[in-house]
Amino acid sequence: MVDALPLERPDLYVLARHLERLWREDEPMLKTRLQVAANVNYDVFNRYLSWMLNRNLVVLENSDDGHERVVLTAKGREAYLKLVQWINEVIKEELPK
Amino acid sequence: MRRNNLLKIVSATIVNVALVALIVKYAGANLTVLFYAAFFMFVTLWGLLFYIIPRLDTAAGTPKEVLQDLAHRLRSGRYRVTEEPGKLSIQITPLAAIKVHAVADGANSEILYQADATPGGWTVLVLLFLFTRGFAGFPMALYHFLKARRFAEDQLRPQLPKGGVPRAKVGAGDIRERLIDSLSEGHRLAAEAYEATQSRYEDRWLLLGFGAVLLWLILLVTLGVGPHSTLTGNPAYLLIIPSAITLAILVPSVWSTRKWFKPRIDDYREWADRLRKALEKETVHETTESPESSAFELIAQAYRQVPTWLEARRKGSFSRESGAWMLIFTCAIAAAWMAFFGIVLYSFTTWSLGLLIWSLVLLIGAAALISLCYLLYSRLRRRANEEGSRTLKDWNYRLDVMHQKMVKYLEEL
Repeated sequence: MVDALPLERPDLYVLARHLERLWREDEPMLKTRLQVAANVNYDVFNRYLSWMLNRNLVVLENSDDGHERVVLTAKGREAYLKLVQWINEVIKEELPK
Repeated sequence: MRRNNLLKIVSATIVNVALVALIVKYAGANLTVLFYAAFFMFVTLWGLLFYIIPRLDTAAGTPKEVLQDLAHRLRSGRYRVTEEPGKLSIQITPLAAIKVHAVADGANSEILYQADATPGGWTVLVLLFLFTRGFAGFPMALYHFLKARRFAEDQLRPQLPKGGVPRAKVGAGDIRERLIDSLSEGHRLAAEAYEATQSRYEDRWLLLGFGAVLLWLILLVTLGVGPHSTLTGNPAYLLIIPSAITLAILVPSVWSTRKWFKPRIDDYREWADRLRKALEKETVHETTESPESSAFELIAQAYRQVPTWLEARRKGSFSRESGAWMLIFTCAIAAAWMAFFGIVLYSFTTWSLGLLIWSLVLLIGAAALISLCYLLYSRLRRRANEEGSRTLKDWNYRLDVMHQKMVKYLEEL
């Protein structure tokens, strides 16, 4: 269960880091592994996780070993795709000579 | 072969034959004429190899779709690709490149290719052309053409969509394809900035070397050889003093050049390496942990550097303002030689009014040319600075708009 102070406005890059790491993972990811991969402390990680859960970008899964795992939802994948598309469009516009 | 290519070959041959006929008519047939005939033939062939655009194949889809798809596939194969309207430029080797054109042909696209060279390749070609009167330039041009043809046959043809069915639009929904495109473009810009700056650094070394030799000669003549010289009595001083003065000027110049260029070169190389590694990781679908926190973050950070990279690439290229740079270069060379001969004339003459006037005319001419160089250079530099800050402003605006769009999207989720 995630119980952290609410995140008012997520940092775009930290959020993208979480989403990208989950997108790269083919299977549900251990919370601690995701926290290490996102390079944030436990408190910050919990606030981001809570933010993502509230918006249905990720869901938590209970596994047989008793550990909670994080899974990217279709909405979370769509959100990450949108961010990647926008950044790609910047370079696709004509570059100054 | 396309009709256009045939037309190019026929017109080039006619021009070639006409020029040789003119030379034979006015100079008679001899060895010199044969030499010039061969020269014109090589120059014509040299030009033709880069001018003709052979047809490769027909691909399913509109030219834009086919080129986008091809660009993505080549980037996934880690080729450096530049997209331009209606064509792609691909670097094959450090010297050779190829242009791929797509022309609408009903519902399909006709794919054509053209041999090209990288900036380094063009420099080698021009030097070979200048120093061997085109004779060694021709085999090099032939190498470029054959390299382009082989690449077109072996790498491009298998990638083209066949059977009248265009491929799905690249990047329509695939995150990895988008990441590869963005990383590849970032890598290309960083690598081009690195190569252009490295090349400028090497040119600066050459220029310093040339300047040092010229200064040493001027000092030697002024102080030691001429009738007005002050060191004729002591042969040891003759070499030591000009060398010491030259070194006193050269060492700080070398130090400041290195201090300016080295950090920039290292920075561009580091960016190019980071982006290349991330690109390699993406193309092999590697999921292991890496020192980079995320590809998205790396791209966002890299894009903040783009105006600097574009500026570095622009500075290393003579393609823009090439006329003004040629003028500055010619004036600087002329000024150096006028100053040299002015001093030689002054040093080697006893007090003869005529020679003194000639010497003064040469020195004043050299000073005037140097002033002209300075004026032209300051104008170019001012314009470049204005253009640089405009690019930076435009680019940052583009990034800010993107950032706001993303933040707004997240807020509305």
